[in-house]
Amino acid sequence: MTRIKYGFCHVHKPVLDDVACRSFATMAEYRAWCETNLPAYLGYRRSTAR
Amino acid sequence: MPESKFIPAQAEELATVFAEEGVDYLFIGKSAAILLGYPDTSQDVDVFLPRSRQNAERVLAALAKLGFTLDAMTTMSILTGSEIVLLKGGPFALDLIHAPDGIESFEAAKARRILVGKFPIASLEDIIASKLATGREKDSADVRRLEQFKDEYLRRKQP
Repeated sequence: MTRIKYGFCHVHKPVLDDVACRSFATMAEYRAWCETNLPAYLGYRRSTAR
Repeated sequence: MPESKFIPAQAEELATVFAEEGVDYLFIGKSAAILLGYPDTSQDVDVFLPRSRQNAERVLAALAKLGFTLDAMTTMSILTGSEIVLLKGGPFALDLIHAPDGIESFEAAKARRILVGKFPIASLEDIIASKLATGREKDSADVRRLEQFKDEYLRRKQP
């Protein structure tokens, strides 16, 4: 456990963390939602989606 | 919404409670790599779950024990096996994933898993495969270092 003592940290991510729970029936729907709704700087957009 | 902050003790608590409830699961994603010694940070925990009503009921019992409060829609999503459920409002950020990109099945990933103490962890090959398959910018940045870490991890494990 020592090696991961500092391995996790939390910073609020806008939009993504604004709602307590989100569910997506498919990963494709999740990816599409990320690309449409999340700020680019969070890195959730596909590399080829620009 | 309450402040969410994941600390490693919660990974241990999650593993303990999941074991108590008999949940079948694997840690996956960057947090899983960190459990193997990968030197980085992560803001949430990802767990890979099989599609099973019985296992989903166990997950719900475990989440209640851990302090997650779920609405009816989220509960139903877990029971029906939605491919991804994001829980951001509990004691820590937790993603439940039934169908990670790049991995053929839970059973196959489980057969390749690494057990570290109480942590069932997806293999580094599967962690890397899932990141490669997403095509996301943040995952692309991780993959090269994860590949290098995998080489070092395997070298250390050689007798």
